[in-house]
Amino acid sequence: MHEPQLRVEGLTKRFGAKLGLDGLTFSLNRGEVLGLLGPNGAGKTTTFLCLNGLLRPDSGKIWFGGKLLGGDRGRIISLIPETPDVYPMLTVWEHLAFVARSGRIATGWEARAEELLARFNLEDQRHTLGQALSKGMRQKTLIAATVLAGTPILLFDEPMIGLDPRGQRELRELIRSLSAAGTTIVMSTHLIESAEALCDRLIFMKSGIAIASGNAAELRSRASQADRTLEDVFLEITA
Amino acid sequence: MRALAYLEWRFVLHQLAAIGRSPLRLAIWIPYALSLGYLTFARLLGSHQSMFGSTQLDAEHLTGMGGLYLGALGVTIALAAGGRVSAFRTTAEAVLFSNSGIRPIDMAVWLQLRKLLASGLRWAGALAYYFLIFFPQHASPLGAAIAFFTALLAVALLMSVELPIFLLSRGSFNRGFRVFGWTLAATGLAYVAIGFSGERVWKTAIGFVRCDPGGAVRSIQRGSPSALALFCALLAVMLLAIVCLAHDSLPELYAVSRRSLAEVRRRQSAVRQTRYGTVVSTAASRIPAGALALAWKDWIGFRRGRGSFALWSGGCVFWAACGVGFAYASVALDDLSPMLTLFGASALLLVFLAPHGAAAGLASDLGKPLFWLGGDALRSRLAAWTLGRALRGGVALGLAPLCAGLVLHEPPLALAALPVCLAAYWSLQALGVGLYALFPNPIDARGPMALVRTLITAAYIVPALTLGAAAAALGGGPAVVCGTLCFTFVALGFLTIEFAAHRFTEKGASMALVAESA
Repeated sequence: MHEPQLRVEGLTKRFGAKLGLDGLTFSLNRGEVLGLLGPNGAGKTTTFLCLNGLLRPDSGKIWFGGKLLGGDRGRIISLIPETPDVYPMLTVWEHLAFVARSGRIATGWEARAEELLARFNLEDQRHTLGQALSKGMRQKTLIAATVLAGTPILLFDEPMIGLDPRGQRELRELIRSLSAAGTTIVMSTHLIESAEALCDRLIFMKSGIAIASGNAAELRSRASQADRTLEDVFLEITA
Repeated sequence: MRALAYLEWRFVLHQLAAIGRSPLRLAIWIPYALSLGYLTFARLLGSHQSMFGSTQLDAEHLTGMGGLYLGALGVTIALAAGGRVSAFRTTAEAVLFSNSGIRPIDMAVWLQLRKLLASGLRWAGALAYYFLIFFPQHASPLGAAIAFFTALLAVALLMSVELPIFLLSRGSFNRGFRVFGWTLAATGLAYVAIGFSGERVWKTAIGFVRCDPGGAVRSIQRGSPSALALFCALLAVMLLAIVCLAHDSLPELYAVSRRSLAEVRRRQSAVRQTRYGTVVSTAASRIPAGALALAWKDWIGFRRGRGSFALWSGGCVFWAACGVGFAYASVALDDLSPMLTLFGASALLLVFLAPHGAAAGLASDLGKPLFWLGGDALRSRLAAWTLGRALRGGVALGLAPLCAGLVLHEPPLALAALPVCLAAYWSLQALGVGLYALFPNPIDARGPMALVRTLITAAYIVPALTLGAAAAALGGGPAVVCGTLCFTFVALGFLTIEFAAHRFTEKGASMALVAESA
């Protein structure tokens, strides 16, 4: 039987009496892009933190290629959070070098790093310190460094926030090329058009529960009326 | 004003509700309450004297304490005149207050009252400690109460003087207040030096200047009603200054609060800003592989941080001077107490501050996603992270025994200095990581938490010192003693890091969030 690359089963997280995540279950094949959509407080970030290992789920299991993952799953599933927190005293290039050296990435990473700098228009900022970067630049630096680490699964939490239109387009292209190269991606966004264009599958979340899932066409077919946009469907389902 | 009172009331209610939801957090108060209760009981039974020696502080120590107060007051005045004021709790609060349409004068008065109350409550426990230990046995209950409240008002004045001084020092008075503040601070420092330099120096110096702040401390301690009246009057004057000056103060209060809060955040993250935006990047070949890349990251931050090198150099000079001074004093002086006081106080301060700094730095790093991307195990990364921080501090600290050994012509002392100090300092950094893993609020140093941190730090240091002393008592040479100390410090450090790594696994984000919200 075909084993998906990432399998999440019954992921549950409570914050006191509040249920942050309630039995989230999904699986992803290699190179697939999954979009998590939901109103604020739906549990998208909690999902990412649990997947990345920064938050301990109360129950649930996460498999990677059939292997059950433990607490150190951050080495397989990397998170790019919504707030781009970089090291203030490292330059853009040093962030990439730091990730490459601390992750013991084999030689030859420099060419890949140069490519990422070029893709994100960070070449001119190569020697700029983290503290002097704008929010968008910090976001790009963080994404470039995380992509360089080469983990097989990437989690993007609201990646378009803070990026200018050009940066958003570059990120969309990067996500497509990463996916084509076999990186599995889970992203959350409030930009439904972006999600529809990028994601192979979508999960609509509300109050920690996955209330609907499928590809865009399948989700649209759930609408009460014909010719509804995905945004209409989203608003209808999560109302 | 009623709206502000309502806001504060809701804030207190929510805090109480939060405690109610997780009452375990009150456990931190148990050792605090027990120790206060024990001291009170001991004082009531009258056995206090035998436990703590004399309850009367020497006159010279009172001078030192008075000097300490003057110094702190001077620094507060100078900083407040320079715009370092923390009026609002958060920037969001400043915006909320501003949008609410409350008159600036009401807002400023409210901020001042809140600060008075908060600082009074915060210091009440510490003062209770002080009084239970040092207050004269023969004092009447009324005298004790007056003394206690006067001391409380003195502390509250110190903590709340910044807002009125800031308002007073706007415009042409600014320079004058800053000069006055720093002069007062220097005077206080001089009195501290006089107070802790032994009886002979104190008598000569006080006889010369004919002005002793120790007298004021003694008046407070005796429960003098005039001292109480004086502090009440001072606080009233401060409040009056606000009423007269705060009507147009909102933009400035907002601006300085923002600046102060940003500064606090920067200090908590243990990052010193540099004035440069662009630098030459380090060649990747010069960055160590694996977990040690974190040590490199710390080093590069130190090199680029504004004033970092100057601060470290100052520390090196201080510890080297301590070593040389102690060596000369041990040969030339009969009375070693001034040097011992200075050396002991500095070392104690370091023992308690070093873990604090490590905890604050780690809190900042855990919130960064790149920290979690490293390929090595978390324990290795934490060990490397602490090593990066410990190298500088350990070298600076090691200069004290190194210089003392060189001056005294004691090669074993000089040779053993650096390894022991490095091991001890690294271990203290590891303790900071462990304390952060236990209490993920790196900046909480209030009474109960401070006591728990102090107890844990003491319990951490004692095994190493005991084993070192035992090795010396059993006739082990300097190499054996140093080896024992190094081994114990390193072993304790690794155990603590192992514990911390276990705690951080799958909890890193929550801890970083707690630290950020703190």
